[in-house]
Amino acid sequence: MIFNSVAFVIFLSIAVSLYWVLPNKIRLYFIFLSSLIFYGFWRWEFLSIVLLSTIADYIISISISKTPDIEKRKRKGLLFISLFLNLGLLLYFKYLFFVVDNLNWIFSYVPGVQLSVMEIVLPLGISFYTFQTISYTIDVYRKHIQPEKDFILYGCYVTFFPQLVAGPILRASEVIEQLRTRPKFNIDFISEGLKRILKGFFLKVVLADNIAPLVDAGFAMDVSSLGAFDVWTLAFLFGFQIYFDFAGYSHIAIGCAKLMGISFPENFNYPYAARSFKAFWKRWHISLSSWIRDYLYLPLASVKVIDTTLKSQGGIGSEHVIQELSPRKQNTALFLTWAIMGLWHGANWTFVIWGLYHAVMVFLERLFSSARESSTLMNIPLVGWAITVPLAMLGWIPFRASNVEDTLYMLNTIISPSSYAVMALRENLYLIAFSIYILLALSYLYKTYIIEIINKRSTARYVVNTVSYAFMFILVFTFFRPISQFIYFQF
Amino acid sequence: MKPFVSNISFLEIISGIFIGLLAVFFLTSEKIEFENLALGSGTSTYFAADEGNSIHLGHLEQPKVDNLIKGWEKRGEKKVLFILGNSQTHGINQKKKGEISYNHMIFNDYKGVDTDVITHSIPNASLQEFLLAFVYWKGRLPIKRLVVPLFMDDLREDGIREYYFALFKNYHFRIESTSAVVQSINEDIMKFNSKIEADVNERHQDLRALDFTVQQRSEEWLNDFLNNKFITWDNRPTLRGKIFNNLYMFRNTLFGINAQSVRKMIPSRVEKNMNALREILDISQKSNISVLLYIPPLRNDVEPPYDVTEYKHIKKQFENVSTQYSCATFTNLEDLVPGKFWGTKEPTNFFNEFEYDFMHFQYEGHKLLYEQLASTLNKMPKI
Repeated sequence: MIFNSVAFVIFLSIAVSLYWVLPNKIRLYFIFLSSLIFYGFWRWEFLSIVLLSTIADYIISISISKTPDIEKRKRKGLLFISLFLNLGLLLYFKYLFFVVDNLNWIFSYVPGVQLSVMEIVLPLGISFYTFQTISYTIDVYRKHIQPEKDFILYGCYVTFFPQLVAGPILRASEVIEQLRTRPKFNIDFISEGLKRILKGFFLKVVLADNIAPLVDAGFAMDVSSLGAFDVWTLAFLFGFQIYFDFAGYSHIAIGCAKLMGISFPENFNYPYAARSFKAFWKRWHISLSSWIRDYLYLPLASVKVIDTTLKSQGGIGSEHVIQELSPRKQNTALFLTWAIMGLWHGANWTFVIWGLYHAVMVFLERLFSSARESSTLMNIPLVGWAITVPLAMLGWIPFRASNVEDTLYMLNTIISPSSYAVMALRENLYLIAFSIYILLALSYLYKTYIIEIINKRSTARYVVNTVSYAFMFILVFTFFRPISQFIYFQF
Repeated sequence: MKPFVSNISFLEIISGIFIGLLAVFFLTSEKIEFENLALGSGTSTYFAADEGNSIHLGHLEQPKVDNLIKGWEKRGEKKVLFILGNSQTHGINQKKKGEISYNHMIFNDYKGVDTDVITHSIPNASLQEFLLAFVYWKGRLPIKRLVVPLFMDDLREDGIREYYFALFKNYHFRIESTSAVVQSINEDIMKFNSKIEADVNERHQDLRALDFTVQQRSEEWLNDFLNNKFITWDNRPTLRGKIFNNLYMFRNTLFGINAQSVRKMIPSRVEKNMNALREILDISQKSNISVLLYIPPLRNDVEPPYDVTEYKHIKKQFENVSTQYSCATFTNLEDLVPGKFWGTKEPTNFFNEFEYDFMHFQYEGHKLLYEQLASTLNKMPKI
């Protein structure tokens, strides 16, 4: 089910009302059932895949915990089965076409050899729920958590509808206990939940969905006609679109869970206020970046993860953990992690370029920070921000461009001085990109400096908040329609 | 203190939603036709018809096309003089009862003879859209002569708008040519096809993220239900239009933009549209269709919204293209309609009282344009 639809609003209203009305004992069953209905509204036949992954990891994790430490090979074997199953599903549904396509490119040099593959529909949210179940099994294997014996409770952790299709990618330690204890009704849950949902819809249906056609039209243009300012503008506009889209989704997910008294970790924290790439990844898609850090980057860097209370805190560069490692090992892990991170987003070389672009940026930051320690320009907040944000925006070019050729052409346009004389977009686009940038900066300043002052005066707070919610409601009501999916649904 | 804070928090969101609801009830109380709003209240749309059948279309939609073809068949399936246009064609400033547009006058002229006159005019149509419309109609009607106005403004436009070519959502149409501009047009139409099939209804375009899912049906049903039961829900497009219109006015006020502000050309778009024009002429030449290209009337009693050097250059470019094709006749009618026959329109910013309309003239202007076009068409070789 897509969030920005009337059906979802009705579904959520019924689900939340029933949840609080039903006896506490059966609430978990209700969550599990409503989550399956939620997913089935997209394509019911793919429920079997979600359930397969859920049941398999439930059984495997219990088996791992029952296997004595001494039987290391058996424990590893069980973990391997879980990884094989989850990554196998991911490989089949998400990457098979990409693999075959690339093999065919190689085989094009061998006459008569060509592979074919039928069209495969990507199950909604597969990248998210497989990562969630993988992390669960690994945590059990590492003995960071005990496996959950109650299948329904575990099933709710994997399939809980607010996060099922696009995260946040939850750790077992963050949510299973909340689902087990299930807090009593509190009016704050409703008000906080509604506020987050309204903010989320505002970001998605008012901002992201209205920027989308501009971005689509810009990227559909012949790249050779674009000037450097056009490429910058499109990079910024897409950067805003994807942020509003995904942050909007995350707000709605967090709000929906809150309506049932469950707290999810934050997934975004003003990423475009970051003053370095490392900081950017502590603010952007926090649950994924911390997942990648704990389950990919640190193992690749041969660091034993001993933290028993893993949480989605974001940031791939947990430098304090790996400072002792050789630079070569650190860098290999960095580039490999980012290439995989890119591929996680989509089966296309453009995503690998995007990942490697970020790897290069983090690598350069490391290089310069070790050379200069606490001095130089990057440490001045405004300078760090002025350098990081445009470079992060530029990184969206490979993410959004149709193919590698267009990506390289657009990036080349940026560095060609003569292309700064060409402007091929409508004037409005430059203006819109600039206005959003300013408004985003103002909203950050408001949240950082002004909101506290307002909150000290209850009348002022009431008036400001009521007017803001009324304003958001009018716009959400006006633009509310499932005209486009959330971008991260396709990952 | 805690319960008080909690209640305040709840009250904020509930009163916010309540005030928001009241506001949307108020704001959606009247429905606006945005096609008329775009023309300005001084100008009315006029799409000609003959004995219940259209002879002039603005949107390419199946029922409208069927109705037009039926009329053409009823009138004896005659060869066709096909007129392309933008809102200048279907807009009559200060329209009075009984007044008709220039293309309808030409239709009446040819009524007794063996030629039918059909018009397709699209607001702000680029030459790419003209090309697409021409190729489509050439496949449906025996076009022997084509009339194409060459507007400077519309060279800024790019791409094919689904709204005006909804027919191609269910219909795998493509132009046969390897040229880059045609490829780009074909790609645009392909994108329409990938959306919800069998739906030309605009309200259903809003649901396209649900293609082929279980939710698609339930969402369509719910939306239809809400549209039918609640006028506020049904009028949401009006509210969207009002919001965009106010943003547009705000931008114009902020930057001092009005109808007379000079719009710079975008070179890549000009080139693409010039290529579309070449494609129209190529196809016409191969199909023995004679083409009348004309620079349309431009208001000349006030400063035009063009960079004069740029305008001169573009006109020269149009003329140069036309001389490369023996099927083409070129004429410049920019000074044809005197200032008194043009109108004004609502301001496009918050401070002006009115603004000059550079696109739409009154009935007298239509009459002058008709006379000039008819005379030029008569001088062209017989079809």
